[in-house]
Amino acid sequence: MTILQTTNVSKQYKMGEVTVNALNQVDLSIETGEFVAIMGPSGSGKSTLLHLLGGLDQPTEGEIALDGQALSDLSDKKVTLIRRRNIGFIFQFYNLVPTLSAEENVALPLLIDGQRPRDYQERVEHLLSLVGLAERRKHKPDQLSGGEQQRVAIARALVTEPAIVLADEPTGNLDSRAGEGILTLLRRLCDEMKQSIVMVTHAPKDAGYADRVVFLKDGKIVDEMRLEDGRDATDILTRLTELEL
Amino acid sequence: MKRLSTLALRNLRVRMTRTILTIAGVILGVAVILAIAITNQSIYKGLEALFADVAGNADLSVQAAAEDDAGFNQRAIERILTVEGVIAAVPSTSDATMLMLGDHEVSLTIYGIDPAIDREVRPYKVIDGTFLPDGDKYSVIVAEDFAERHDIEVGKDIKLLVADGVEAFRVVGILAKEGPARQAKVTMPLKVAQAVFARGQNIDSIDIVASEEIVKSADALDQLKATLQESLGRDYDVVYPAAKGRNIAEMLSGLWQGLSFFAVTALFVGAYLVFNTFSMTVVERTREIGLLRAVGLTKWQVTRLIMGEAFIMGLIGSLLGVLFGILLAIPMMRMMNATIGIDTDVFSVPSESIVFSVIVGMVVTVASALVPAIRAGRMSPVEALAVRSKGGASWLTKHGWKIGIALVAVSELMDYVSAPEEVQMWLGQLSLFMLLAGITLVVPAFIRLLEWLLRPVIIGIYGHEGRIGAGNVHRAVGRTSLTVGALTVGVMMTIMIGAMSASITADLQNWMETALQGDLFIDSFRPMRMRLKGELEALDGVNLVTPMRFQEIKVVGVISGGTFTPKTESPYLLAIEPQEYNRISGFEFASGQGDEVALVSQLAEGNAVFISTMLSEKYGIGQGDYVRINTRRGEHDFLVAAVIVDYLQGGEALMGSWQDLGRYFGHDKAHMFMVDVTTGASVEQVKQQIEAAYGATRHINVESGEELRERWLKDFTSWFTLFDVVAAIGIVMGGLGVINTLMMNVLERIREIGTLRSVGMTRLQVGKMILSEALVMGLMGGLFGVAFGAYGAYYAVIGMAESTGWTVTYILPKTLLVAGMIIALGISQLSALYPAWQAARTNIIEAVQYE
Repeated sequence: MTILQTTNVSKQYKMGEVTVNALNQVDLSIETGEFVAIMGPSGSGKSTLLHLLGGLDQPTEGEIALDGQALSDLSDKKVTLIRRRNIGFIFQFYNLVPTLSAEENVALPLLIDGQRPRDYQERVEHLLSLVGLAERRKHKPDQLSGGEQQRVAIARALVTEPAIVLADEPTGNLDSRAGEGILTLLRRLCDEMKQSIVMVTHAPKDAGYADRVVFLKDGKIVDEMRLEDGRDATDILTRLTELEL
Repeated sequence: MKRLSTLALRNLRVRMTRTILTIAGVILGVAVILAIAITNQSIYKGLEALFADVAGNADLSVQAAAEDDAGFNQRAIERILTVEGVIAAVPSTSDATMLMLGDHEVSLTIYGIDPAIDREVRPYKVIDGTFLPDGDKYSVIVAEDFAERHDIEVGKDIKLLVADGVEAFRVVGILAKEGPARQAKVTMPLKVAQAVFARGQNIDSIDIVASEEIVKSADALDQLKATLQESLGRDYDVVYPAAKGRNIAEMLSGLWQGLSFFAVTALFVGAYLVFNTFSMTVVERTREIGLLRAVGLTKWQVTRLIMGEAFIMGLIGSLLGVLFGILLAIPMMRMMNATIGIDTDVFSVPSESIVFSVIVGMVVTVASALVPAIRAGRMSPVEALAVRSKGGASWLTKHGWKIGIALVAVSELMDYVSAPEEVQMWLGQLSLFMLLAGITLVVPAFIRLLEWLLRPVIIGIYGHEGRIGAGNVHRAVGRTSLTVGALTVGVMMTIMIGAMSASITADLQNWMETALQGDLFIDSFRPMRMRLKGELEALDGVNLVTPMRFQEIKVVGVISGGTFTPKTESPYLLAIEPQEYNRISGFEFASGQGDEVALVSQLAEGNAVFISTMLSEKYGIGQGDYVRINTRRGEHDFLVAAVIVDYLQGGEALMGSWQDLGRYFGHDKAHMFMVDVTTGASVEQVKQQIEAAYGATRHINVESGEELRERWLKDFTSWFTLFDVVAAIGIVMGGLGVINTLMMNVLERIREIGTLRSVGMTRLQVGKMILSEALVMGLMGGLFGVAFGAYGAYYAVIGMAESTGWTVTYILPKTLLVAGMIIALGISQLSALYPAWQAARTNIIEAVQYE
């Protein structure tokens, strides 16, 4: 089942006198339980696409639908509520609230939604266990390593049981070992919980964890590759070279 | 250096909002200081000029030693003219009267001059008609502003109330409103004035013109003054003409000292804002500073860069502060003129005050930026480039409370230090500055505890957003403390002024209810004959009437413990019939002075006075001591029979018997009658009866006791208006501190705000979060402000009693505490609106990518 769909989506920005076409007629579908990696060089529009998918921005043209609901013509408040309850975000720099503990950061979307702690405490504890941080739940972000903070961010992204999780270079600020741990976790979420994930990355090794890789160049999708039948990062790298990305 | 200053300017331009907010703080601090200095100087010079104008070319002036309605005999002129060096001796009179205008009357003072010689002394500019003719024709000249206001023209008559009723006077000329016409609105020939006001041969003043040789030398003029004084004797005072204005201005010095204290707090809050801004700026620009160091700027150059920005802000803020100070002085002058009841018409901007204000503004700005600038210079390039934002409490935040307590303690101890009066004021201001600094440093120690205690309140008001917002206040404890400190100072000033006003007003009301218990009070534009007392007592409903007269006297010394101490004081003597006064009203005796009935009898017997607590403190005398007063019979020692609480004439009054008034000062007319209405009779009906019987014929004014007390209270409390203005400025500056801090908080947490928006926080929720942060600061500022304000007011009341003898019961109205909290909360929320709006409209994508 298609969980997230873009139809003919374009995005233009005005930078002074110049109009920049960040995205150009992009059609993309994400299926339930699918892990999709979006790759491309700097300026290809991959982060722009991710932001549009998450309702952080609105397309200039085209439509985006999440679980059948069009996001384009909704008010900012409605989009925000959809984002709160149906989309999970994971950022490169973790973006945790420094004054909240790990468990409070995880519960943040529920806290904002006005839910009471006794209603969500169990879920929060479960997610922290899932990411291996149950014993660190009272720690503040400055007491956690980079990898641990990103795990908290992942738990936060999952706390509302979102339709989709969007990850923007989730390992970009981690060493290779920590990064591997994150990607393994994401893969597990997809396999075990059928969590749909879209991840922007520039690293073929990271993209190798996905089910499908979408290649962007100059705001357009130029190719796609399914990672089955033993294909891995090396194949992705080869394809990137062929596409001159 | 030029490149650094270019960089500094650019940095200020890039952070325009913050720059403007900070400069605003400096502007306000400098403006308040300068406005007070301008108003003080203008009033002083205005009063001097006013009285000098009246004196004209006169080099010296002769008056009766005891200010006396009757004046003195003009024979004194002959004696004066015999003194070598005197060219002219020009007599004049002044009498209070009423101008009768059809449907209403206007009270004014008429001046009687010798038309033949007065122009040698005073420059009269006739703009219509002619000057006064010599002789005894009933003619007057009128000042142009007065003529315009009352529709008076040359050739027409005006009616004036004189000794024997109403008389018509022909207007012969109109004078330009300059020189003597600034004060003398209506002038007539001296002989006419003496005749119509039943002055006989008496005059009120002789203005003396000295020879050129004497005028050229200050010593020679001094010598002439001394010679004249010796020749005339102690019944006369030979003075420099402007002295009277100077005396009035000096009476206001206490008010200016009080205002200056509060101006110091305004500047202190300005310093807060500057320190706050630069601390935040350094944090924000950590990476930039790292970059500058990496490309080769030395530590000293980095420090100079930050100091350069401070210098520019200080310069702009101080210069604009001068402009605003001049503008602020205009309404302050108006308020002051209205309060003292004299239109001084001088706006003097002393250049030394401008220079002083600019220097203070710049020094405070630069000094406040020094610590952050040094901190910036000390940053290692590697550390700075690696770090995105540095948190953690500074040494000052962790340990500053110890210094704070020490500063508060030293500030308290300084109150006990004795010093000459001119130094005392500076010491007082330094003490206040240290107290404020101490409070600021102590505040951080309480931030965490207070936030924890206040959290349920915040969550109750702002929900879950409040939970996040409240937690933010102790992320940057130093910054929060400074903002809370700024709010504390504003609220503290409000509470202190309010509590002191309430305490003094309550005491005044209590005193009035004891000392002014008469049912009716009667006064007139001229002293009233005692005959009226009997006539009033004969009316239905009148039980008893007692006279009162305010007589300016000269105290030449005091005797205490057998030792004489010379003094030169001019208090007032309130002459009363003690037994009658005690029956109608009463006295508030200071404690432990014996049987009150016996004390009143002692006063009634004569040769005794009651003195106010303030004079007791001022002269250093008490019950059983003596006051030596200059009288018509020479200097006489009056026994201090008792010390009383008395607010008449600002507390500078003695009470004496009517018998002594006649015996020693030669007066028997009353300025006021206090009336006791018979029990059961209607005060209003008796009032109407008196007005009907004597209002028109005797031109008396009848006021009920309630009306009089209300009027006096209103006049008294109007003095606090100026202090309220300064307190309001303190509150505004507290608000500026909140805006400054929150703007920086928003800037520092842009990425976090972006994250919150991305996980589903709506714009409204973001706004509420910022407002809740401000609410925490407002609550803290309010609580501290109320606590320190109550403490400050208590010690101010005690200090006032110790230094002036004016003992006041300390009152702290609960409504004032509530008002203080409401002000703190209100200003914190209002100030947070803009930062909240800014935060709410954060672009999510830019924010989450912000580094």
